[in-house]
Amino acid sequence: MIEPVSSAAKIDQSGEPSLELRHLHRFFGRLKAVDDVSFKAWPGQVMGFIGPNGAGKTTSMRILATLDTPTAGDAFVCGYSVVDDPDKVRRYLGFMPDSFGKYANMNVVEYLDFYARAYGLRDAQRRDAIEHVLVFTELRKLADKAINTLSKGMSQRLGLGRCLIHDPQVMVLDEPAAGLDPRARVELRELIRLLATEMKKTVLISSHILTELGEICDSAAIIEAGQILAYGTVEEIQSQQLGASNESANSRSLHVRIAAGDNAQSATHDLEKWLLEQPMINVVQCSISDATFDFEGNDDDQQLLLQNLIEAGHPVTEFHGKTQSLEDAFMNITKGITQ
Amino acid sequence: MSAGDKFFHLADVVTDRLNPILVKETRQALKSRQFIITFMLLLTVAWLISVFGIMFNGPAIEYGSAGRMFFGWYVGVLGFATLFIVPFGAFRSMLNERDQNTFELLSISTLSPRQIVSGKLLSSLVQVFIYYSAIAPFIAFTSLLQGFDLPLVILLLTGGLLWSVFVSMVAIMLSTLANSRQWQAINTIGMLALLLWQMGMAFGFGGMAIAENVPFDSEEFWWAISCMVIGTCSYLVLAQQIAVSRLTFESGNRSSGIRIVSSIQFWLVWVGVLGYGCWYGATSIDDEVIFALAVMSTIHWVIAGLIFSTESEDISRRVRRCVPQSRNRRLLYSVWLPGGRRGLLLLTLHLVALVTIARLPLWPQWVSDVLMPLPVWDEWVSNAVTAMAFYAFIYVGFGSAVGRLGQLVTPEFRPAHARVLTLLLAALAMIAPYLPSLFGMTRRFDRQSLIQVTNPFWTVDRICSSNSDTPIFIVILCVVAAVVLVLNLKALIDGVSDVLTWQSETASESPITDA
Repeated sequence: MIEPVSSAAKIDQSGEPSLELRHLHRFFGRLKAVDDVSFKAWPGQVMGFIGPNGAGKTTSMRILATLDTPTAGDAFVCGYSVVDDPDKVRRYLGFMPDSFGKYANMNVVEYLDFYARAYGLRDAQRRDAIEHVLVFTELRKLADKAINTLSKGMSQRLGLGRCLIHDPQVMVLDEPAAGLDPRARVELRELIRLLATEMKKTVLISSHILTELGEICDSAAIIEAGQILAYGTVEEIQSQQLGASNESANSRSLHVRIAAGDNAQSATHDLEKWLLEQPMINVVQCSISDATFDFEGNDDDQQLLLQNLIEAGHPVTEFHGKTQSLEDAFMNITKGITQ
Repeated sequence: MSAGDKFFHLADVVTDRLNPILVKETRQALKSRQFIITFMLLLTVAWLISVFGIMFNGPAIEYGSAGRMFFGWYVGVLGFATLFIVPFGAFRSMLNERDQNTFELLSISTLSPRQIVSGKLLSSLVQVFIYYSAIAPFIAFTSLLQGFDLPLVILLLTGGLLWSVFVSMVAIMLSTLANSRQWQAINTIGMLALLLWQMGMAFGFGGMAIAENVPFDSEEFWWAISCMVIGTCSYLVLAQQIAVSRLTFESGNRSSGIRIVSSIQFWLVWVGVLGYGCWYGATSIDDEVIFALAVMSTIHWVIAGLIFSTESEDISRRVRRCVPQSRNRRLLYSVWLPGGRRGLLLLTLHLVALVTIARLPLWPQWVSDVLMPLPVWDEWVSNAVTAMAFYAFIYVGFGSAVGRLGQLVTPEFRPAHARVLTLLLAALAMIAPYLPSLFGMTRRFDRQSLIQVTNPFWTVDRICSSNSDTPIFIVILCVVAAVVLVLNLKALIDGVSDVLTWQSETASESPITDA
């Protein structure tokens, strides 16, 4: 099992995890779609489940949603096994597949009403749940609209509402933002963020849009060819990858921007020349008014470097360590293996 | 609160207690174009029948027996809606759930497979009631005419209702059998053919009942009706159980329900037969009736046994957890638990029971004097049933052994492979005696040769005509059955002993408080 990169996290991990995959395996003949996958997620946590197509994300999610059974291992939702207690798991889990069917001759309220009934909600409890979902997903105005005529964005909201109707503790969302326009994506992102922060739900979300996942997830699990390659908070994965790309513990990547005036090109050239003369600097990459370089030194050395840079007369406007995005981490970690 | 609000509130309260699928399906059906068109068509055709019927009958309508004729036409129109449109709607409804990716969302809700199946069936029943209510005024009109026969009307409408529910259930069951698109397409064609065939049969029976006088005062008629109703209801429950099993989660118990219903059906028939014999006297049932029931029972158990005995032996933790704790109860319950070995044992026990019942007349006289009156039927019935039971055991038992061997060789060998292989082996055994003459190895095929004993149809036909070779047939079959039993003996014992040694596993308790 791959342990989390670090135990330090924003989420309170002292209690029992609400979601746990324990040595999960799923084989289709000789194909190892999921091969010894283990991770945990706690209440209030949004966990990104990232991987290329065919990595095993959807298979793992389907097992969690009790739509498939593992070949070996188990998964637990609020302590209940998906193999032994699928009925109980379903009470605590809301699943939104990447594409879901819609019934004909049914409007938004009837659709939610049906699922509320299907989850055993009765009388006022059912009516309150529908009202709450309509308000949360902002579908109130479309309550009487036939679901077949909803736009993609509204359909995804409806799907999210359906997941929420029985107030599950854990939500598993498979590519919820796929096919949405930028505005709908941002709105959906906000809704998902609210689920974790205000409703304290555990959200496991898979998406190909990693920049957005980086913004809403507190943790992530990167999977490829059925195996977990990295798992931890987003910052931990990013910094781990940044660290891994540099060789020593004191090695870091720094970025400098200088004022772009009329003679920006010559200023950049001077900067590059100056940087290459410094003893602790290795690879320097320059573009107009920007330079990125590997620096071998501690924080004091970095402070001294900045001081020297300014004293040398370079018009510095920015100076910072280069941050690695989730996308960069993903590209570094995965090898592009397809099964 | 206004009267309208009160009504809607009341409807809300009432529907809260109903099956969610029923509520959803009814809402959808009532809004669907198909329902509206069928409903309007039904009314229009019934109205046209009334108008043209009156026109053509003229003044004769006052004194002829036009009531029967009008009723026949109305029932025909109603039959098309309730025996074709409604069952096909139920079939499509279940199929659409898979086609439109809505079934997965349904299956991960807290609705049980039984609720899903019952909801679909009940929504069909609601539609049938709506069509009945639409035709009711027209049938009321026939009551004003000469020739109106209330018992016949009640019989046909009640029978039609039961048959429609049964056919809808079978349609729902068939829709759960195929997963892939190709099989669904074949399934749909088969379903349409089946619906047309059964509708034709139903119309035939209905037409006969209207044209001829139904013997309402005959006791035998009511016995026959009772048997048909019980038989239909039992197969309705079996179809429902199969549909439920098909929708049950993979780690759930998909087999026990079907096994229990199949056993109940078997005992219902034979306890009924023996009870009838005891009540009305030992010779009250014809030999042919007993033989027909035995043939049906054997076919029933060959099909069920073939499915049960080739099931996978992997029993999920979930199923094991539901096994009774007491050793004795486990022993009793074991044959109804999933698994091919226990399936074969269940088949064997039922075939033994069938042979025991079939040979009751051959028991010594003192049993009849001391214990109970023994039924009486001809010896050929006993021998033919014994032979059929041996054949069933030999072929299914051999298939089961081959299936287990196949799974040892490769895990890719699935229950479906074992079933197909068993059928092929049985077919091969039946045509084997003809092969030498087909390939020119012998000049003429000897129809009397004992080599034909591999063919159950030939052997049973011989026994039924009280052939002098009957004891030889029985001995041969008995020896072969003993060999098959030896082949399966260890598996049969292991099937039960496994259940006795299963560790009891307790349900995982949630650390989080229940919602």
